[in-house]
Amino acid sequence: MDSSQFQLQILSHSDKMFRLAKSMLRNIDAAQDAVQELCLKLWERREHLVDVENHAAYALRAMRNHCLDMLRVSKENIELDENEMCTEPCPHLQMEQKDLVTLIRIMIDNLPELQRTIIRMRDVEEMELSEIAYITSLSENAVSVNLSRARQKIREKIVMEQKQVEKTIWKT
Amino acid sequence: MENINRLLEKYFQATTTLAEEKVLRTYFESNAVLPEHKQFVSLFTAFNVEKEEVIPFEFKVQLPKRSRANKYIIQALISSGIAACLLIGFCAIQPKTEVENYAIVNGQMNADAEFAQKYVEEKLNEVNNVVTKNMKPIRTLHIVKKRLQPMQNLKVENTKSVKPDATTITPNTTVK
Repeated sequence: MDSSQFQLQILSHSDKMFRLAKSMLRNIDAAQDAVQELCLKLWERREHLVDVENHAAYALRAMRNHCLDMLRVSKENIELDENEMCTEPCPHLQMEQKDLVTLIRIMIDNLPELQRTIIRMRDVEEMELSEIAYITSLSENAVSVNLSRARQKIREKIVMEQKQVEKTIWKT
Repeated sequence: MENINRLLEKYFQATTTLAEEKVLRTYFESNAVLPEHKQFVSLFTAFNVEKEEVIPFEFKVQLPKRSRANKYIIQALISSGIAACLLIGFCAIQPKTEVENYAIVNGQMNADAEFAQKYVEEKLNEVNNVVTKNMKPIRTLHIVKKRLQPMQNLKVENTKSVKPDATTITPNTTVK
């Protein structure tokens, strides 16, 4: 695989890779570093990439594994359990509550790593369940279960948020 | 409307297909969203916002580049290395051609056959001269020894004749 093929088949997915890294690491600079490091690694292994059928899925799987390694090394993987999940955004974020879009993105960010990765792959990247299963090394059924849980949690949050907004409106 | 409700239920159960999800996205992007669905508009808008998020413009993946000059230098180095390896290998594999004919002259090996031959002839002549010179007295002595041989024989014969005969002369013998 030469430079132009690498550009076409791997680097063309760098935005997806960046979004995945940002979702997992929750840090733009770290996500950029992850993309740079992974692209160099893939460039060094470019001879093996010729046989890969789905380059996007391969690159995203490699990116997920790379991010997991980074999280393991930095020990920043402080995942919030389902019970520990923030029911209320932080005070400075409460200012942004009017902006429901931002609020929903925060809700997604507060999901466990696997769930937020899966929901973003499906709803942002519009990937098939089989592709997500390949990237996350899970079965399609497991992906479906995690996706369902993630969506239902977001739905509950949205409904709850809506009720709070209605309450404040009635009070005023 | 019922169709949207059904799709929404399926969506939250994660049983929708990509095509059905596209229908939902299209619906929530439109201006025809019903009031009871308005609360989910932000959800689909959030996904659309994230979809437009790209890697920052100033950031560009840097791949290691090899210039053409570097490429030639690397190729030349590789070629030289291969040539050197081949040469060393050839020398190592080739059987040793030892000099079989040589002479040691004054402690130094000399493989020049002509020089060695002349040197040996010269030295042999010297030896011959010495031997010839030193053998002359020996040869003379040999002649003398040879000529003395008859005299030695003669002495022995004379001694034998003078010797008294044991049978004839005894202590009891009377001299006539």
